[in-house]
Amino acid sequence: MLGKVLKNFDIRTFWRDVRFLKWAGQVLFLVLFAYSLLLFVQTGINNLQSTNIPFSFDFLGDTPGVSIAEGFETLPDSGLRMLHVGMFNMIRIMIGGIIVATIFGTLLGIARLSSNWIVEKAATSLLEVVRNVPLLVQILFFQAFLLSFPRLEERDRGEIMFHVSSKGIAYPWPERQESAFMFFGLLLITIYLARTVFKWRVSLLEKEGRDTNPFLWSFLTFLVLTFGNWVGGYKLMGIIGLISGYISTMFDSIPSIAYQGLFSVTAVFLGFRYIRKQIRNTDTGEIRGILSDDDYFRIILSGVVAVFVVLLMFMPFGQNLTYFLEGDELFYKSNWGMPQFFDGVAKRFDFNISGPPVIMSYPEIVQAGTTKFTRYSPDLGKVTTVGYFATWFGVTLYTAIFISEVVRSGIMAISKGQSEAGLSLGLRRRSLLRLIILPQAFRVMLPPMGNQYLNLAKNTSLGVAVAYPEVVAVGQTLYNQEGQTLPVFLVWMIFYCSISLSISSIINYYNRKMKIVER
Amino acid sequence: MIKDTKFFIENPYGRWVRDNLFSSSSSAFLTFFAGFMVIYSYRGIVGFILNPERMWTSVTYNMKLYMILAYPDEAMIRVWLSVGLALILGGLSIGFYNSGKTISLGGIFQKLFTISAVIALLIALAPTNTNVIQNDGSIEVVEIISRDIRMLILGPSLVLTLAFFFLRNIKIKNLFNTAKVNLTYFGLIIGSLYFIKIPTISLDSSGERIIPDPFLPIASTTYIPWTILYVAMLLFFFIGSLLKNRDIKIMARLIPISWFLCPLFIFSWIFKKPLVELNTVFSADIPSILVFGIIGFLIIRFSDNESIGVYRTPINIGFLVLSIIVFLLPLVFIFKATMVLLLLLLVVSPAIATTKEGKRQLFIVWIVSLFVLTFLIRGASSDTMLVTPTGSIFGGFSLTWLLAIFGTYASFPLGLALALGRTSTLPVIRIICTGIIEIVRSVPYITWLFFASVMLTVFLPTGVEFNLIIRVLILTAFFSGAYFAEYIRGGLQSIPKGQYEAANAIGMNPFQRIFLVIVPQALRTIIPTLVGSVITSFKDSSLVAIIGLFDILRIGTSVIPAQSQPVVFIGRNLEQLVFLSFFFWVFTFVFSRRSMKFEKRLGLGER
Repeated sequence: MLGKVLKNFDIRTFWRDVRFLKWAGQVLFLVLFAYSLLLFVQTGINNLQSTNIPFSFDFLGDTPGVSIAEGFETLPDSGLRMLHVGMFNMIRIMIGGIIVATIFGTLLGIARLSSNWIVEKAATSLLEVVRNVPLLVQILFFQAFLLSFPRLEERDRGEIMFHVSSKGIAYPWPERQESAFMFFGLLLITIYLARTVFKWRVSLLEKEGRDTNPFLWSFLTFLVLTFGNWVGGYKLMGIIGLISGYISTMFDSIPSIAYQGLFSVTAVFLGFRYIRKQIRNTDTGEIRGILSDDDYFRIILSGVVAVFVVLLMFMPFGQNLTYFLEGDELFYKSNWGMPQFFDGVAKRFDFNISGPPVIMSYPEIVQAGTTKFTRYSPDLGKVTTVGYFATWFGVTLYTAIFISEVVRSGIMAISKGQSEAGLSLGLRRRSLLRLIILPQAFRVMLPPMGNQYLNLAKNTSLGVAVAYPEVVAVGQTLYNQEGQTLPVFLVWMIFYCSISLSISSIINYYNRKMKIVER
Repeated sequence: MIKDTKFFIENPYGRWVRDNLFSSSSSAFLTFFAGFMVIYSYRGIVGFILNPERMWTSVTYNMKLYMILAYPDEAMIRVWLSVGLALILGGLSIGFYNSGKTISLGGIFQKLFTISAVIALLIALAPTNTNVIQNDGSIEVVEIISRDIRMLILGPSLVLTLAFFFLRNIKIKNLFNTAKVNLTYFGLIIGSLYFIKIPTISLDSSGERIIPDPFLPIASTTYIPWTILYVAMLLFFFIGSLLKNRDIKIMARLIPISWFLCPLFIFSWIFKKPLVELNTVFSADIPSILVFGIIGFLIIRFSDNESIGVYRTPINIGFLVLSIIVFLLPLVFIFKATMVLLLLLLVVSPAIATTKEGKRQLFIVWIVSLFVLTFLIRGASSDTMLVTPTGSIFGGFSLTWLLAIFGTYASFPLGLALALGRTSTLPVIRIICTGIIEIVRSVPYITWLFFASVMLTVFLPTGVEFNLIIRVLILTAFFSGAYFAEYIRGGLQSIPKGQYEAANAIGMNPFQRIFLVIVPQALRTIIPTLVGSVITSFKDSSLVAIIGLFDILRIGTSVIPAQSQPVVFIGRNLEQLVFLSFFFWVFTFVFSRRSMKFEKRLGLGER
């Protein structure tokens, strides 16, 4: 074959061949791009060296010596731990924001389509106000608004139900006890059972044609089981703990070479399957198609990735990564922390645990240490700080407004015939919306909704303006302390990229699942 | 819900009420519930604004600070010239693009009736008292709208409402042009600057505050410039109408181009007051114009010459290599910028310069654009002659505009390039472009701003230093460029494949195919999205306050609440934020409404 190619080779036509020009252009582009990137990075490294702060990730292991205003740990012992607190704070706002914004946005979107004049106009004016004011201004306004409340004084001390001051908002909150994990684990199973009962009653209804009260049945099942769960039924979940304990010991006894082998084989197998799929795609059975540039590229890329994973597993490179952080096992562990995980599960699901799963806890205003200042007790009730409230409320309201637009356009996209058909079947307006319009609109709404969730996740970074310690604010504190700006920026980038990737992959998964099956 | 009595069937108002408010029992409940909520929040907002704790003079007193920060007083005329240029251009375009829509006298009275009725309703619903939280936590009730004031406003507005209610059925054949009516409304607003008086902080000769605050008209120091600008705008409105009546076609192209160039001209020459040395003009600018003028002339002259046409590809590649070399050589910046323009001419000329007339026109365009480019770059690259204590002449609202406009200008070509790269069939280019777009988009804007403020200098070679504003602009260009790229990609994907094939069939090369056939059509379909993203970048520009640039938001949140001379405004955050919300709201709301009308006129989405 090579001989044939060489025989036909002609230098005069070769350099004018489109295929040659295309690849030559791309290689030239790649070289130029890589060169300029290298130049950029090299200048950066040189400049950093000359400023006596060489690029390093050492600060992740050092004790930062600063405290964080809120989070699961206010005085972290390492930079990495501090960043974890920031990340956790960011995710806390993101999840709370996504849930509330979706509910509120959907309601607002339906209100904008309401036939009631006042409801429609009120929703539209709220939309026009919130949409046209920068988010940062709104967040700062909410902060300033809360700060304008009176300060906590000595005379306020004592137990309270609900309290607003310039320190934040305090309210009662059900506090998780030891048995909570088992309770909620069993609750999930209960929900599944209730759903099964519902389906069974519905199928009975369809078969026999009499009213079988599916909702009542499933609700009663849920109530009875949950009551049993609450008074002690959760002890059943101890079985999971027992099994987890055995799994943990099993994982512990497997040598690390087995993990390395397992992951390498999986990587090679997946890579091989992908390449085979790419080649077979063009093969219709009768004729072999020509592989395009893209196909070649994908094949080469997947091969390289598979080889890289194997290298990562078996070369000392993997071990080196471990020492990269001065013993902080962040990136690489041959068993991927599985024994520890199952150990934790075994500890939380234990037969010996008893007591109610949640207890209502009421906030209290107490003296701050031995000082003359007054504050909310950190352990009792729930206290929403000013920064958290301003960021969460601003971001949620802003996103809800955009979600309402998404919902509105999604509902408008459903043809009128659908609602007419539903009405002619005798459905009520509420059932029509729930059973016919919203499920169809959901399909149209999903991709733009995912974009709004991404925007919400990114907008939480504005917490830095109101001193809420999310990942950007924490990173800023860290680099002010240590001077390592570039590594902190890399951490931000990796964190936000992975958050975006996970949100968009969840949305894509649902999008694929919801798509109308076409030929 | 409502019994179908005679009133609700025959009377149109009754029917409306029945259909829109009380169509069913749940709807009636919603009406009462939502009505209660709306009135309750309205009363709350009015109570909040008129609360005696609020000190609105902190906003009005600092208006100049908000707009231009520390722009020198002796050069104030330049600020007014900048605003005036935009207003004049606005007047000209309103006159020229006047759609000729008319409104009858009855229609005007209908609108006035609505406005006065709404005012009467609002003042009737406004709360009499508001709560003031004292320092010890107790709540004091304070009267904010006394009976007399309420009657003073309610009485005339009710009378006007009644008058307009009867006048709106007037049958007069006279029709008024909507544009003229709107300009009259604008004039009324300008006129009201003379009449409406509010308490204003004023200082006596020794710098002490006069107490109680004397009543002065709003904008007491600026109503004369506003009047002059309004008159100039009116003048240009009539010039625009005249041009439209004369049917001068070239204006239809000139006005959009002037809108594009207007901010560049303002920021490089008017607002900046550049220090231009005749020496550099003679040594760099004039030679550049001459040399490139002659090269351009030759290109246009020989672009359809058949004996040269064979070597077109080598010539193009040669010029590309030459421009890269010029870029790397330590030459005057004007040479480098003009080289890019020359490349564009090289691509475009074979398609346009096919006839004698076409060649003549292209040459005129070439010479004019050379002059304009040189002129703008000379202004932009010179130092300013103005001295300000903050070190930058941009601050406050002028900085917000600078960031919004130049962010858009710089990000657009970048976004176009990235979009073309992402839709390219070449895998390497596509993957690099996709990677850049996705990474830039998935990281929030504020982290990029931190990158600009603390990290970008690290990556620049020693000796190269940019102002923080320039660094922010560079990063903004990248950030909104990545967003633009996604919008433009949407437009590119909406172009049917037949367009590509047609362009190939008539023998266009890839550059011509993309820039003369595909991109113009793609851009046309995404104008609404682009306008939306311009609004977004206007709003996003407020984020620079976090990294320490003195834009309008930072002035409101950290400069004014720290003022203690000559009047103590310490801790006056809420007033500033309410004002800023309103201020941003007015601009974005008006802009988005205008763009909706503009879209309708373009006939987008109706094909």
